[in-house]
Amino acid sequence: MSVHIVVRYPLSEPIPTLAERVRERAASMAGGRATTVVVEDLEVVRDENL
Amino acid sequence: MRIFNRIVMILLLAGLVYLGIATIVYIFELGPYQLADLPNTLGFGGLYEGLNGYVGNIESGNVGPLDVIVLSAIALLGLVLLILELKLPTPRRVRMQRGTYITRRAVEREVSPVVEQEPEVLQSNVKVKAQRKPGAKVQVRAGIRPGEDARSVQSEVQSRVQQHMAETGILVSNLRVRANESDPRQTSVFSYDARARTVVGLIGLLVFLVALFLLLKEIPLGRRISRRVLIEDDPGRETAITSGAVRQLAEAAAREAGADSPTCRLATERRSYEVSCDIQVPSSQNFTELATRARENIQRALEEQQVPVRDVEVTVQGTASRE
Repeated sequence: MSVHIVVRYPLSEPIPTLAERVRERAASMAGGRATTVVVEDLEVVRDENL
Repeated sequence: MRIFNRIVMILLLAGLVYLGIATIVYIFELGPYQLADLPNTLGFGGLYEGLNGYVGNIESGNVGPLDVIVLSAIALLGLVLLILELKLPTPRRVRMQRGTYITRRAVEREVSPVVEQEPEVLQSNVKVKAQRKPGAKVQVRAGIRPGEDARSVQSEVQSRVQQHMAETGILVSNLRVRANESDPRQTSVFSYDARARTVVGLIGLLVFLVALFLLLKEIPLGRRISRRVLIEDDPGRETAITSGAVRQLAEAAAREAGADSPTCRLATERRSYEVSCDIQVPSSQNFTELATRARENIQRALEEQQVPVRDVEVTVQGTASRE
């Protein structure tokens, strides 16, 4: 199973940690399948620096 | 020189391909082609006889002046090409600190206004050269009115430029200023007409070279980029990130450090990224400090996300225009 996500920047946690949470949430639906998480894009949240 | 080499290699390879196909066809005598006909088909029969006769003449000392000139020209051309090939290419960007660069054009745009602030200067011509070591080589030619003290103007301009470069953090390793008298009635003509004539004269040649260069770039020997890389490779639990996301991350990190209008490009080298970012510097900021900060922030942001990074380069394109 391959889960494709878009993450927001600034990141609140490292991508590997986020990917692990996604994997845990999707585990019940994965039926024991190997799960790959793919970060497709980054959405930059506008603030005074960005 | 590299473009010339590529042209020669392409022609040689095309010739070898033709030779290889011809050899296979004639060796196996496919269709109506016979092996005995191969030398004539390739044109070697006549070429061999001609060469044989020519070399025989040279060995017997029967060499005409034209032959001497042609052979000497070939030897000289070969020597020149060898020297050009061995000569290291001149860098196109001015090196600042490790992994940070600034374009020559950006340095010119910083120097020119400072030179022309000097009241005695009617016009200026700034040339910037990059070196392999950090710092730019800057040559300034300033046109002044007849009767003005050229030495005093030179000294004043030199001092102004050095001060401005120090404030903006652009390293100048060699600054030469020359002030020459110019007739104010002719300065604009001198500036633009001669230059315009030169540009027009070179346009035809430049269009040909650029078109040829772009054509050669279409041959896939350029930078490769993986669509995605693995940041975690545990079997069955892989995490990957696309090159688009990596580029966004690098640009966001550059903006976070204070850079303006960052544009990043990626290349993949041995499963890790080489990141090159072009940035603009907000006015009144130190170029070197900001470029270094941007580079460090990009590297930190990518490493924190475990993106494999081989190298990060930041090039300053100029000052950001205020809107």
